[in-house]
Amino acid sequence: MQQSEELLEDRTLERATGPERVRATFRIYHPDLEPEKLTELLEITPSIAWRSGEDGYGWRKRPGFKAPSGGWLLSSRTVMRGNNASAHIDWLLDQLAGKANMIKDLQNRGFMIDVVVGWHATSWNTTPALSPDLMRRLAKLNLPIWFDVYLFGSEEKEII
Amino acid sequence: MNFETQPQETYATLRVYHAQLEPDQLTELFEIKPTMAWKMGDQITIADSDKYSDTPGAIDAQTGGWLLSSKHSVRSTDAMKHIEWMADQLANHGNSIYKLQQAGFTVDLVVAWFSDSWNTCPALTPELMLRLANLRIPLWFDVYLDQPMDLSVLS
Repeated sequence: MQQSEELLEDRTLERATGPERVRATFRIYHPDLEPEKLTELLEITPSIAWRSGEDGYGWRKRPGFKAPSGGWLLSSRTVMRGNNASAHIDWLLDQLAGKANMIKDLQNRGFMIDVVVGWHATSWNTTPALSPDLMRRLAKLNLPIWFDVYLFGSEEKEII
Repeated sequence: MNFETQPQETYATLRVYHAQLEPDQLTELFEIKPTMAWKMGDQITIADSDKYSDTPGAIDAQTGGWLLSSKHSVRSTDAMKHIEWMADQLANHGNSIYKLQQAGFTVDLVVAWFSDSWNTCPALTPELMLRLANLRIPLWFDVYLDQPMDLSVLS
């Protein structure tokens, strides 16, 4: 009985500090980025990609807004369901398995590459976490990670 | 990322918990004096509890705890500097941490992150993640929006 209550407490805490919505995105940016070349190199179809100067770029596709840089994004947003951030990151890293050398080569050529985890919470306190295994996988791919945390669902300026 | 997405205050705390935890044994094992440590059943005073009507001044510890914080050793709002300091303190203790975990001890690193902005961006480099992975320490960011209440280490 006591164990059940503790479990219930844990789950209540997890709900209170967990995200309402989460997604992981692998991002590549460079002024001279050519989406088709990256797609061919990585053998992955991006979620979205654009060239520098393209009008209505990115997720929002707002007319009149020209891309300041080329971009190639692979996101879990349309593939993964649920709010377990680790599962979203795991999925992303599964897609990138075996591509460490390509990623390092692109970084050496000046391409900006990272993983961003969009994290939308509706509480004052929220707790993004990473396991040692997940950190090792990210490190082996030489990928920095950052959590783009929005509290109280505010996402007006969400970064791509 | 810009300044607005950085924290107002941040620090890292290594936390070790176990019902049978003996603080002196862990201090000897890690060769570091903890910031705070207690045995199960000890009374723990809660900092700044007088500021909050719903927070008791002290609680009976339901488990033993051994905490090492960067709060008073690193003066920076760059969380990575705090995590690096912690990784430096724990260098060469990967096997000890693994043995504690195998014996049922909870070991983690919590990065307290106080922000006064609706959007805030905790980040980690590959190099830092590899150091933590080699130490087998899970990490989590305890992100608070404008709530500088230091109870996180006791949770």
